[in-house]
Amino acid sequence: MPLSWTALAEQLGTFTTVFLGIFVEAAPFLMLGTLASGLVEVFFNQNDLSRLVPRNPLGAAVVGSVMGLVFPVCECGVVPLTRRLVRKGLPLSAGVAFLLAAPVFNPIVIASTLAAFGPGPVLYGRLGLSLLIAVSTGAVFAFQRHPERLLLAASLPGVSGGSHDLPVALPAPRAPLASRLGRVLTIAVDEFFEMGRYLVMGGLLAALMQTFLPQSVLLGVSAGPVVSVLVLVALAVLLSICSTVDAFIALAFAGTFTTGSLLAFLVFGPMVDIKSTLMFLGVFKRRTVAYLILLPLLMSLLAGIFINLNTTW
Amino acid sequence: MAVRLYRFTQVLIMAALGLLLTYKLWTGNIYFYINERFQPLIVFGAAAALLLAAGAAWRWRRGEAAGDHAHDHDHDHDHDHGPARFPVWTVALVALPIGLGLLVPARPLGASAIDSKGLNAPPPLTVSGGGPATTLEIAPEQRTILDWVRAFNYAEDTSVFTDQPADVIGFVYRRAGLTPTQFLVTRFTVTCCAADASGVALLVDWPDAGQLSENVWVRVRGPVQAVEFDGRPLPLIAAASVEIVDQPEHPYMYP
Repeated sequence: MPLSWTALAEQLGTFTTVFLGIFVEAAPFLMLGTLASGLVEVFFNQNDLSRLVPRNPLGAAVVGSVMGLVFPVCECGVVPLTRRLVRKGLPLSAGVAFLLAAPVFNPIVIASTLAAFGPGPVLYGRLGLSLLIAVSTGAVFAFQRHPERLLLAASLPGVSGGSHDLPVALPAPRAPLASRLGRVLTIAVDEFFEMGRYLVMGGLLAALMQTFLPQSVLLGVSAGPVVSVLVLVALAVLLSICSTVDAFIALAFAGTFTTGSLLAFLVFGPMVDIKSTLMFLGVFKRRTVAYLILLPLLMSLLAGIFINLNTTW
Repeated sequence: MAVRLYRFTQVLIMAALGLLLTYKLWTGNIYFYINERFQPLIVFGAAAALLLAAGAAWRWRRGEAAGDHAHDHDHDHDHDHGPARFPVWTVALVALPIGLGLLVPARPLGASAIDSKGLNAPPPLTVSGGGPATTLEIAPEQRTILDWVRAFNYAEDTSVFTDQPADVIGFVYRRAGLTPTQFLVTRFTVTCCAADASGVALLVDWPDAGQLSENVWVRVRGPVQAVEFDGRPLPLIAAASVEIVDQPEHPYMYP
């Protein structure tokens, strides 16, 4: 194709539309997450949290994985909220399980998956596998006794002294409501900027790849119990779409792709994509992010391939 | 002072984001980016952005006096009291979508996006209950491009459609392999946002096809024939009339 200025301008138009599409869709969810984080910081007592979450790391991971039912956030909003909860003293195993499971295991996404696929193997498989992968990954992190080796300073719980923004520095509970709400908004706006920059970077990357990498390259290979899983996992990362709607996208592939590959798409996509990976980098150290990507990736691939080879779904 | 300047920048950017979303909702250009059913989400987003702007303004007016920060900063993250230095990159990145939204003329995806997005992709488009039965119940003249593509994807014998009257609106798209009198009348389907867009198209045969420039919106009427295109059955409209029309308010179709 001859490269001309008009063609370039057209590509820029496509790029901008795709990028703004991702951004305007994700930004409200991110604001929801940062507002939730602000509310948790200001109105949630550290003691409440330690009462609710078991001390046993595996139990903590299990509790963390179902906390999405109480804090309904998708994969953009979950990142600042997780960091806030960990700073509030949530065990890391629970934090990681929450981070990975909440984008699927929350009322909105359960409803949209039910609407798309009905009650059946895809819905139950998606929920079950998400919980399983989130709890196992969370449990792996329970073995690290030194959270400062995994987390950036900004994410460390108060007790380890990494941050001065401790619960003790909170305005006294008697502080006027207006001032406390003001604090909620200040926290939310700061986090929106901090996480928003990763959202923008991720959106730019996703839009760039979508503008210049033909999707047909991927979708041309829809058959095979193994290849189909790899293809849809790659597509999940590339598309970077919100978990609240990805079930409808997956439905469009339902006719041609294997059930195992659909499940891998629906389980891995909400846990890891381009924009959430970049946001992870604002919370965890790089090595931790690598584990957070690789463990769910391997488990999703295995689960998808296993389902294709051993079930008749 | 860096913190106060940062707060002030936050006020400006969040207010600009809230106003930009409101403006796009007002003009309807928001539908170049998203599926219409996410309109309430954007309304919430606009309100939340203005609320955050108000929060930042409150903090800016009040100053950062609430906390005493005698400690060292050897990290660049934002605390509740804002960063020690003005975070140029953070501000630039968060401002970027607003800049793009203001400076790049808003338009929906067009012909040039089809190469990367794909056309009449193999997946049968069954989303939201639009199964074959419901598609076939629609009178031929009422069918959209998406309905036609669905109907052909599901039909066991596409000859039943022969000579049914089609009346569809889409934009003109050409590509290699078409005769000089042919073009594709095309739409994008969008489930969530422009990132998941996928093209659907019908083949049109029209003697004056050469005079239509790419991306122009047309209404095509004429009887349908079943042909093979890209190895799959596709309707070809032997156009009785092709008229240039305005771009629809909702340029995408919502499967």
